[in-house]
Amino acid sequence: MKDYVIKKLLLGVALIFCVSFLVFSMIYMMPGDPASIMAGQLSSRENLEAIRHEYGFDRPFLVQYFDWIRKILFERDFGISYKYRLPVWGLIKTRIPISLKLTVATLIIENLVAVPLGLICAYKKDSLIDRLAVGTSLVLTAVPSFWLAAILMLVFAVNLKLVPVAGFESWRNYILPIVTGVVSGLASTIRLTKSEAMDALREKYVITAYAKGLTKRGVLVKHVLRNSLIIIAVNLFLQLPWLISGYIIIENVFGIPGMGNLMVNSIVEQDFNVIQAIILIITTLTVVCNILSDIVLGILDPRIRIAVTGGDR
Amino acid sequence: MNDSPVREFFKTCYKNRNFLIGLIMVGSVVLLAAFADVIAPFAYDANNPREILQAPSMQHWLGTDDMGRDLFSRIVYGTRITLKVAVIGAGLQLILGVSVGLICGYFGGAVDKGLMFFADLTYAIPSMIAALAVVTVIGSNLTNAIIAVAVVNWAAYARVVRAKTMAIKNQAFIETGIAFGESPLAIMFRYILPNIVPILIVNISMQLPGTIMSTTTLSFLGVGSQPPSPDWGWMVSDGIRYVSRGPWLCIYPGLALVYTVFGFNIMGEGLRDLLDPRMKSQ
Amino acid sequence: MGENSELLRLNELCVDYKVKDGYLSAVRNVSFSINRGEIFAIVGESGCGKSTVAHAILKLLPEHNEVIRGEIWYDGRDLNGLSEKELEKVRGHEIGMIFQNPLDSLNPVYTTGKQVQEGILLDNVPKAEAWNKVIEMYRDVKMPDAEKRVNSYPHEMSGGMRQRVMIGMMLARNPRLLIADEPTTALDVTIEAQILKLIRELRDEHDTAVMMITHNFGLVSEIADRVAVMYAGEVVEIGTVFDIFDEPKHPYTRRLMQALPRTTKAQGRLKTIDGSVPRLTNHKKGCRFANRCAYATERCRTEDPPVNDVSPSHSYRCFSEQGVKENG
Repeated sequence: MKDYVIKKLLLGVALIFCVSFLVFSMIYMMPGDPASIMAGQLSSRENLEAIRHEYGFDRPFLVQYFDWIRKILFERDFGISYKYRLPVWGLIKTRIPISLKLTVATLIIENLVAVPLGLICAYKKDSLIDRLAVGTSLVLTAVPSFWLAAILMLVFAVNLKLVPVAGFESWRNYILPIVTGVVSGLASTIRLTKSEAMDALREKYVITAYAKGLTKRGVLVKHVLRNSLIIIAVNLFLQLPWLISGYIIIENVFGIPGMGNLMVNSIVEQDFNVIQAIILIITTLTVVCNILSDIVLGILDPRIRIAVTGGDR
Repeated sequence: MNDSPVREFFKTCYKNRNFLIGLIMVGSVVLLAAFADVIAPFAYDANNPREILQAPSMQHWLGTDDMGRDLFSRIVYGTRITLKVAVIGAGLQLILGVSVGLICGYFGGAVDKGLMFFADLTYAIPSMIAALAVVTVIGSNLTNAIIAVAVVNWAAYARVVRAKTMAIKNQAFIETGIAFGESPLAIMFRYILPNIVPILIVNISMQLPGTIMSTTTLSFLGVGSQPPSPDWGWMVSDGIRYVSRGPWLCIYPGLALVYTVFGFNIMGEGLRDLLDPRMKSQ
Repeated sequence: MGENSELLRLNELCVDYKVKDGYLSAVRNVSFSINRGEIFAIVGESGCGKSTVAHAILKLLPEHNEVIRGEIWYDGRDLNGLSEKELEKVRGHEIGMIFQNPLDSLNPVYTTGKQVQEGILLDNVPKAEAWNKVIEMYRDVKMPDAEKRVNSYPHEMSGGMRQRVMIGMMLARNPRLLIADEPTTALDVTIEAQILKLIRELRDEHDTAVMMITHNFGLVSEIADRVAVMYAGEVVEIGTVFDIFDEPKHPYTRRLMQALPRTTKAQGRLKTIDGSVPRLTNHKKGCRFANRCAYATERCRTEDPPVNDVSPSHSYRCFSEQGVKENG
């Protein structure tokens, strides 16, 4: 197990390294030179020259890259936001907890709803509940979350006045965003849970368990549920980064000051250092979640653990 | 019995209700796009300061927006944008994915490893983040949004094509082709590609809804289509500002989008059942 | 084998699968009995319904789209009439069952010992005691390194070891009947011999009856006391192993015997016969072997053949009353 974790960690570090390199090179892939992108179009020639020197754009590419990485790692210095004239980290620092709180709450609620539903659908296939769930998720996959957010806002905030339309002061502001996030994620989780549980139900070891004399409940809990839980648990971690990117949209609709909102505004404003920082943070988070999901997989499924460390790969 | 292929096709269509309904839904969108000039009573950018934010009425079936433009007309013209997104988006993803997949599957080795690394990379980063990053680099407009979505989503095609190419490569007729002195390019396009077409069609139809959704979302966020273009995503985003004074502005463009995506969705599912019965389970 | 030692009796067992356009008759009018301590083999080509019979006894058919008719008498009760709750008490406790592929049949996420213990715990045995019993069972099935192997996962074991685990698991609660559904098909010849030897020894030791499902005639001659030959969902001939091997009566059995050099396992497999097994739609009259039988007459295709008794132990289902002549 230790070798397995170390292997996954090394792979993750390599991946983050690659992504960071791509994120850093972004500015060089853009049309125009970095200094003018940084400073905006209105800068004078002397001003550009000063910026080029100040930010070290006149140094070799790799030197710049490693200097950028060093500052991020050891000084948490992501540069200065051009729009706000503030250090990027200070800007993001307050927004990360908001986005994380929302996504984690969404993730938990969504799985609490979807996993039992998926299990019921698998166990009572073709029943009324199953057909309703399958039909609803088919429609839901065609509903974009930004529109869902708008409709929820229209119905519950504008018409019924149950919750405030926008803002972020009280917990009641977070109800609609979380509902939007939960509903957008429901369909895929229900489908995944259902197919996993149905696969497990068809396994031969389920018949063995019955043959042993186990009760229906014993078989369902100890064999079907336990084995489908592997993928469900893995999915829990894999969902998190996708939810965070999904919240870019939801934060935008409800005006929640999270990372996603900041990112979209920064793209519109061409506030480059902020965009870089957020992409780097979210991709790092993604890689971390992937590693965590691999570790959970290793804990829950002895086959993987042994195949990876003792196998020929 | 006279079972011509055409009749056979219609028979299976009839049996496969998903495909039929999907086809009708998508077909209606295509018709709207083709005859938008005839169907729409107003131009999509016809401002009318005297009829701002009017509720749906006999004259303006779905109401008007903050600049007095007729919402129904704008939605009808919007079908053109959505179909453009679907066609160009799928085309770009196909070109990227199929070429990478063919090259990887045919040559293997270091080329394969290198290219597939990039494919894996697109899976490691949430697609919305990656698409936003690409748009940041190349700029905000509809074409760039389509390109961004393609850059993020080509890998699924590449994987399928790569796996299929590897499987076909070792079959006898390929070796015959090589013996006749065909170039690798000819082998790939004349011998391998035709065998991959059915599974590609299935994959396109499965990916199309996602492509439309992602691109429209980029427009919603303001980094895709720019005003006054009648892009449904942008229209919903614009409508949210008037959510209390003109709720129809965000309801109807969204409904149009749901209708289209749902149509593509079930058409894709039907097509998958028709062309690839093995993938049917569940 | 006295009269009173009958343990299991099937009476006109029929199993139909519900399919899209009606019912598929997988098993039709199967009747036989198994005595205490006896090894009874059901032999036939794959798809002949022998496995369905085995699974139907404990209602372990995986797809849940079957209709079981007829009687399954076990120890004075008709298992076909029992509720799911009552069946749970029969499974494992009275009748155990092992399967063809021991890798698929063991749950990959638990150690094999845990899975054996799970069954023992159903008898309200304290945990520690149950665990000792697991180790004891591993020794009983001749598992090398029993104390260590209880902590192995299924994929860390060889095929033979896994089948030993299965046997141990199913015998741990001392059932009086063990149903073995092709227990050695997935194993190589030497391991097969070991497993068969083990099954025979355990039968001798515990007086457990064994119902052995197989397509391998060589294996039948090695291990079975009595044999039922199945074709297309029906028992076509039944008798002691001597009856069947020395005096086969049914044309199908005869064809099988002719094609049987008894040296190696591979050759012992049933040779395929020309023609194909008919689609088993329900309620179709006539002998199911008629389309492949060299002796078939018009009558064979339109009427159900009767069951002829050669001796109290030997019977077959055919119109030909003396059975087929030699050289047929």
